[in-house]
Order: sequence, then structure tokens, then C-alpha cells
Amino acid sequence: MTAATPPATVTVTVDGTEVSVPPGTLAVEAARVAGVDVPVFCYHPKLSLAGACRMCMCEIGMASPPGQPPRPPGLMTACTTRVSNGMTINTMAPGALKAREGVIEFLLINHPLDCPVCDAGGECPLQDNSHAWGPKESRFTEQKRLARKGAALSPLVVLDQERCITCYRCTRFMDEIPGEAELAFFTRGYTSQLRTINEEPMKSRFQGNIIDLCPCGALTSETYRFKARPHDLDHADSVCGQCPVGCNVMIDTRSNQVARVRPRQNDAVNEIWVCDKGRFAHHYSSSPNRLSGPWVRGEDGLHPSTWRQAYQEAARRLGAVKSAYGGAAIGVIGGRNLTNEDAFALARFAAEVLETPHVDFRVGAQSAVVNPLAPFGLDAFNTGLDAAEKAGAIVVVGADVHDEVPVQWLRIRKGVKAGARLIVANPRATEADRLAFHRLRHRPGTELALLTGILAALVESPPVDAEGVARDLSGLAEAIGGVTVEKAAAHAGVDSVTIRAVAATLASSKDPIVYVGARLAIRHDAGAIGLAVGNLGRALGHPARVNFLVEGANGRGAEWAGLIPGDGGLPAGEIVARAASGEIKALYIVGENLLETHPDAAQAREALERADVVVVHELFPTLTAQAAHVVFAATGVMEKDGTLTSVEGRLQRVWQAVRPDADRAPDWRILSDLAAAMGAGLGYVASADVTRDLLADLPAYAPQQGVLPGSAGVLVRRVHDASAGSVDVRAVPAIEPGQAGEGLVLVTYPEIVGNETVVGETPELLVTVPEAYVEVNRDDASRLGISDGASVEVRGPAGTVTRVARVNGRVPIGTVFAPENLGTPRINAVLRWSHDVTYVTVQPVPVAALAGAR
Amino acid sequence: MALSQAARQRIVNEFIPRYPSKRAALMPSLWLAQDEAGWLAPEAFEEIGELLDLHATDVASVASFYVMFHRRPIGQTLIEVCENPSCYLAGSDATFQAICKRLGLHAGHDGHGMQTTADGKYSVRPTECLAACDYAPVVQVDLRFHGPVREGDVDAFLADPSRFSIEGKPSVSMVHGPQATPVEGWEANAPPPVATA
Repeated sequence: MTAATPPATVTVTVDGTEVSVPPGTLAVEAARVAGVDVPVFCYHPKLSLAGACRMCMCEIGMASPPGQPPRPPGLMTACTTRVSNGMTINTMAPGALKAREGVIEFLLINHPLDCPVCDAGGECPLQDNSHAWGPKESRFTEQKRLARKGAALSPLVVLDQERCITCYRCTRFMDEIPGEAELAFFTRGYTSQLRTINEEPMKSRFQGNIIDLCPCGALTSETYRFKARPHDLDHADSVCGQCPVGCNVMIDTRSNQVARVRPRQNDAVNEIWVCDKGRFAHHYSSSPNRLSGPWVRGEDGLHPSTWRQAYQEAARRLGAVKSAYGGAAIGVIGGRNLTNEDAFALARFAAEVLETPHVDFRVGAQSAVVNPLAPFGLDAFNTGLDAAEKAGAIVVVGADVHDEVPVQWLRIRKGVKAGARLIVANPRATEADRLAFHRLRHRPGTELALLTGILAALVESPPVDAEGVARDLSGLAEAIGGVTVEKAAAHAGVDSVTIRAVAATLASSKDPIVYVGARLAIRHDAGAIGLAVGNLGRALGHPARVNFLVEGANGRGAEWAGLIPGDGGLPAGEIVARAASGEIKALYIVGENLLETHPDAAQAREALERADVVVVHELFPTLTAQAAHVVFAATGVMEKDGTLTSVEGRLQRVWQAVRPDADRAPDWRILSDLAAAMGAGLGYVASADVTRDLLADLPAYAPQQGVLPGSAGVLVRRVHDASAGSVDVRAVPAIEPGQAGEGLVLVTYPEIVGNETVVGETPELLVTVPEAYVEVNRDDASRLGISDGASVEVRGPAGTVTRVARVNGRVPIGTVFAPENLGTPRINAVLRWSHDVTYVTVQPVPVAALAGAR
Repeated sequence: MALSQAARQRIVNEFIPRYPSKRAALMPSLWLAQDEAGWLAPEAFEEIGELLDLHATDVASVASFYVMFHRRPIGQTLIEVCENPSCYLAGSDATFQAICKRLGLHAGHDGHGMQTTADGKYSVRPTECLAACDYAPVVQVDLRFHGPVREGDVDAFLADPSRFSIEGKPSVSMVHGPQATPVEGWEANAPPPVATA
């Protein structure tokens, strides 16, 4: 017998309907193709197969070989049976119906049937399937099993063990999707209990997804518990406004208040997942601490005022600066969390009304280079988010993908599980290291050297194509000058063997993807890093698979809307620095708490105090708002109609979920009204006007031809300058010597959930935020006499903060890490913006000081 | 540390290479850890998890599936009385209650809960079928079978369990109740009566 090539499709009959499906399709999916829904509990298309619940029993018959008598069909689980040619799937056979009825009767024996007090009531697969397939009566008259009810698995997720039908969806999710198997069934059979080890609260930042997956109300949300009935809720399709991934969400509201946020399926973006910050941190929207109405600074501080007064005051003060010093004396910062409409209105306001080139959404930016890949005719981000699952290799440089683009981390994990080799370069061990094929622990600030080293290693042994011909990389050799692998490795503090191994892995991988951290795109050497990254893509034969991440929920949208330095414009960090030195006289800050986010708190404070006028749009009375002359109360993303553009350049719509208070206005309206008060006009009265204008005016959205996408969004591909694309390689500047200093090098970036204002309004989430810490290597700690958990002082060039020491091996010797978004004051209190590398000292808090504090 | 250095080495050098996946080495690792300490402390789960790249919860969950893994400290000697039909019909319930009474333990039948004497010498619990019905009622002492141990034998049994060991003892035919007469030759092999204190 010769092995026949497998057919492209197999034909099966589902309840009399013939359908053709790919070989290997599950019977339950084949039935779906035929328009038949087989009831399931444990089966989930995004999870591995369990075959645990037996709900999907169908009578399935296999075709007999020619000449053989027909085989009798049998009861099989449709969720674990793969189709074969000629298979018949009878979902409504009397035997199947009887089996399902039996399964439901068994499941309901121990289920408490407390649907009237269960959050899942009304949207519960167990309820629906019992209604559709279950017996009318139970024959069980004994005592039901008693188990834990209302038990907290964490501050966010509540377990009702009595309701659980042990489908293993939650444990499979935790094990397979985020890879944090911190939840499991203990003991077995009828005593099975969902638990964590030692009853420790779950720590995963993706745990909220198990609430959606649970088919029976065993897992419910602490923040939504007993808040509403599904039929009471209004729904709005929206996009999460917490990070640049742009997860599609549905916002459920009751009485004009957000009751919960759930992920909405979009397989190109977030599949069906959302992180806990996106899911739970929504209470800020209805917080009583929100700003209401405008505030104007009088002689004795900020006072509430009317909108008219506030516009007049802002117009007067801004006008005075503009007429005395010109528009270039005004700096505009912020907008990375606004909608495209707001960002576009702000860009127009800056250019047409304030007439300043100093506009930047990239807080702390040192470089005016906005898109480091522009010399290659590329966007900053060129590979669709979903491409990560089919990549052969994934390189992550200078980013903690778990914390900065959480749901994309799930996609990267999926890619790695499918065979991609993950290469992680970060000065500190990140979650991604757990799956990494190569880990590079370079010295902070030496990413350019590291990338150049990889290029040098590629020049040494170039990728070889299918015919065995090596790529000609002589141009690249010239571009990197005389930099050798050894020189680059020594500079970056990495082993040259590892760099060569990374290059070899990349050279032999199909479809590699490179992700570079957002903070490298705003650093002074962003342009050089862009050249190195672009060259890397070209050397590997995949020029358009290189990507820079961005900060802010709508950073990419802000970039494309034009919130970037104009001709001669300064980057955001420089704007603050010039304001602190008195060169810039006015600051217009939109949705940005500079005192916490500018990487030099003292300088930001100086800038705000020194400026003649500071105008702020804010949701909350942040420290920055309190330092302003005029504050406008703005609406949040859930209170607006508009669009957002995700990190990959996907234009997505948000529909208004909550009607805003009359005393708050969308940013575009504030800008339009203020422009009118300044004698100019943006001419906007409705959000749709701004949308129409930005689609028509911005080159980025030209392919849309003025049409807004539907709920799934659309990946906008920008039109590039074709001539720029012809450049093969670009010279990479020689590696600069790093700034020498004494002490430990401080690395800082945000954690996924910090004690930010929006998180602070969700106490259940806030309690999961760790105490502000500084991570110190074990060897450094023993040298400095620091024990794990001790209070330490972190002293930097600009100041000192107190932190709790975490002594471990995640940071190498000589490096410490402190998250940007934890603690009061923030770690930016020790930073100097002008320093590329910050050296700090860490020492135990003197005992006397501790005693004094008590 | 819950695991000795030798145990760690054995897991890494012997168990892990034996299987296609690290997770497959979990059962022998758990046995090894329990052999060393007598029970499995939470730290053992952490340490085994670290060696096998598993979450400690996963390790603890697997251990919890099997009643022969102890997640709490147990007495020096573990006595398990079969409560399945053959042994039950042969009077195992009375044996169980007598053992409990003799050791000063609560004689009630509370599911699979294990009871341990205050001095830490004995732990007692009922168990499922031990597949030695021909010696019913069977009592397992530290994983070794003993039987038949009838209610009246309990004092002698506790004084010297080895006399009831089935090792070297001919198989008996199925008995039908505590009064059934053993086969011929049984008496000869029976342990001599032991004076109780």
C-alpha cells in the first residue's frame, strides 16, 4: 500500500447536511459549520481538549471501507472526535439526547441551583443547557454536597465551589494561556476543590478571564458581584484605554454607571482576552473624586469657575505669552491617552491657535525622532499583532512585554508554544525570560551596542538561503564600521558567544519579528537604534518585520494625529527642561500628570512653578492639575464617541458608554471653545466633525477614504515614500561610550498595575499592587547589608526615596530596578532627565530614622 | 529545604532523564520526597516544582489526587483498614472500631479522615479495596498487608502486627462473613495467641 496524500477536505454529514471541512477538524466544529450548535461545557476553541463534561455526546458513525458492511454509529464526544471522510454526526439521535439528559441530571445533583442569587443567572451555559437538554425533574432526593461559597481566590475573583461542574476551563486557561498554573483542582472526584497552593491569593494579571470562561457561575467577579442582572445592562462596544494593544472590550453599564468591562472577540487583536487592569480598573469613570467643572487660579489658589471665565482666563494668559514671546514660547505636552479626535484637535490647536512647533505626546522624550524606522520607509510598527503566533523567532529588546503590552504577551506565548524562538534582551529578568530561548542581560543603556553586536555576528556568518547561498552583507559590514562582536559584547556586558548564538538563531529562523521597547524610541539615541533595528530586518531578509512599541493607550494615534514636534520643535522632555530654565513660558498639558511621569520630578516641579501659565485638561485633581493656572475637567474614553489607533496602527471605534456630567467636556470641545475665545476657530460642534476632518486631513488614514471601520477596527497601512524603501542599509553610528558613574545603575519602567489614579478608584485592584519596592541583586545586597523586605533609601542625582528592598537574582550585580508607577513619591524623584544612565546608592534606612517615624 | 541534596540529585540525574517530559518525573519525585520526610510539606511542592518547571500549585494538586501522598504529618505507623465489601462482610468495621478504641481515637466513621494518636505513634484510617480479599479483613500497616485481623485479634495485632502479615501465608478461599471457617491448615499457620497487657 502506498500512503495516500491526505485530502484537502473531508466531507461529513451533520444531521443530514453535508459539509466539507479540513481534515482534523473536531466534530463539534464541523457541526458549527453546518449550522448546528452542539451543547458543551468543557470544550473551548481557545483551550486544549479535556473531554471532561460529556455534554457534547453525539451519535457518530464512521464510513466503512469499501465492500465492508456499514458500522453501527456510537455515542462519542463531539469535542474530542476528529472528523473523517464520510462520517455521520447525528446530534439529535435519541441516544445522544438521553446521554445529555443524563449528564445534566448528574451535574445538577450537586449544583446548588441558587440561580436567583447567582451573578451568572441569565448568561449561564449551565442554565441554558439545562433548560434546553436537561430532564424535567431530578431523581436525587438526598443531601447535596456542601462546599465553599463566596471564597476569595484573590481580591478580584470569587469562587463558589458548590456551583462548580469541574470543566477545567479555568485551570486550563491559567496553565496554557498566561502560563501561570497557580490554580488547580485538589483531591479528586466528588471532593474536587478548586484551590491555590496554601490558599495564597492568585497573582496572575490575566485571572479575570476565568470569570468569562466559567460556564456556571462558580467564578464571579468581586467588583461586579451582586451589582446587576445581565438584562439590566446597557452595552457599548469600546476599546480598552489602558495600554497601546487596544483590546476590544464591551462596556456594560447600569443606570449610566459602568458595571463591568468584558473582552470582545477580535482575533486580530486580543482574541477573547483582556488583562486585569483593562477589566477591573473602570471605577474611575464614576468616581466622586473626579474633577468637575473648570478651575482657575486666583491669588489664593485654585477656585471653581464657570466655563466662560475659565476660557477667558486661559485665552488671556496664553495670548499674553504668545504676543510677548511668540508661539514658540508655548509647549504642548500630552495626548497619548486621548482619542484620535482629541489628539487631532490638540494638534490643530497647537499649530493654528498657539502657533508652536513644540508639541509632543511622548512624555520624557529626549529625541525629536518620532519614528526611528523612517529612514527605511517604514512605520514604527509594521507587523500585525497576530503575526507573532506564526513567527519563527521573536526578538524583544528593551521591553517588558508582560507589563507593557500584556495581551500581546499572550500572543507571543502562543507563538513560542507553536515553535517560535524567543530572544529577550533586557537589563532585568522579565516574565518573558521564562520562555526565552536566548536571554541577554545587557548593561542598561547599551542597546545600540547590543544590536550592533548582533549585526556584526550576522556579517561574520550571514543567513543562507534555500539554495545554500549566503546573503551578501558587505553593505552592512560597511554600515557598522569597525565594530566587532567582541567589542560590542564587551560594551554591552554580554557574552560574545551568546550574541553569536542569537545571530545564528535569527539567521536560521523563518519569519522573525523584532519588538523594540517604547522607551528606546524616545531616548537620545533613538535614531541610531532605529538604524540598527532597520538594518537587522534587512540583514535577515525581512525588512518590514521590525517594530517599535509606543507608550499610552493611543500613542500611535497621537503620533499620526500630529502630536509630535513640528519644524524645529522640541521633544517633550526638552520642553519641560526649557520650561524649567525659563525659555518656555507656557505649558499646555493634556491628560498627563507630568509630576509623576516626567523622568525628573524636580525639573517638572520647577517647570510648572516657573511657567507664566500652565493649562491642564484632567479627569482627576492630580498634582500637576493642582499646580496649574487653569484646569479643565475632561471626559474619559468611556464617555466619548470617537476612535483610537492601537500600537499596530489599527483604527478602532469607541462608542459612548456613559453619558458625561454636564460639567465635563471632551478635550476636542474644550480646545474648540478655547480657540474661539482666543479669536480663532477649530469649528467643531460634534465629535463626528472631528472624525471627518481627521480622516480627510491625516495622510495616515488616507487609505480609509473617509470611511470609519466597524466594531472590528481596520489595520491602517500607511503609504510610504517608495524611494526611501530602496535604501539597503544605513550607517549605524559608532557606539558611544556610556556615562561613567559611581554606585548602582537604576533601571525603571512601569509595572502592569501600579497605584495610578485610575487604579486607585478600584480598591479590589489596588490591594493587589505591591508596596513600592526596589529590586537589588543578592550579592549587592549582602555587600550593602540589605535584607529582603527591609526599608532602604534610594539616593539618586535629584533626590532620595524610601523603598522596600526585594533581594533576588532578577537584576544583575550592579543594577537595581524600581517600577515607575509605584510609590509616593514616584521614583522619578531621584532621576535627572539629562542623565541617560542614572547611578544611585541604596542603603538601609538608619534605625534611628525608623524609630523617629513611629 | 524539604528535599535533601541527594534527593535533588536523584530527581535531576535519574528521574528527569527517564521520561520524555519533565512533568512525568513528578510521581517518583513526590514518592522520594515523602520517603525522606514521611510527608509532603508545602516547601516540598515548591522545590519539586522548581526542579521540574511546574507551578507549586500543580505539584500540590497532583499530590492531592492520591490518598497515599500525605499533605500533613502522619504518625510513625500508618494503619489502614479496608472497608470495601469483602472485608466489610468479614467484619472490618468492627476491626476498625476496635483499633480506634484501643488507640484512644474517635471510633466514629468519618469518611476518609485520618486520625493520629496524641503521641504521634499511630495514624489510622479506613481505605478502599487493597486487592487482598482472600485475607479479609485486611489491615495495611505501612504499605504491607496483614490479615485476617478480626475484632478479637486487635490487641494481639497491635502488640505485634508482623504475626498477621500475609507474607508466607497461604491464600485462603473467599470467606463469607466473620464466622466462616478457614480452610484446613490455616490454624497451623495462625500466629500463637498473645497475652495482652
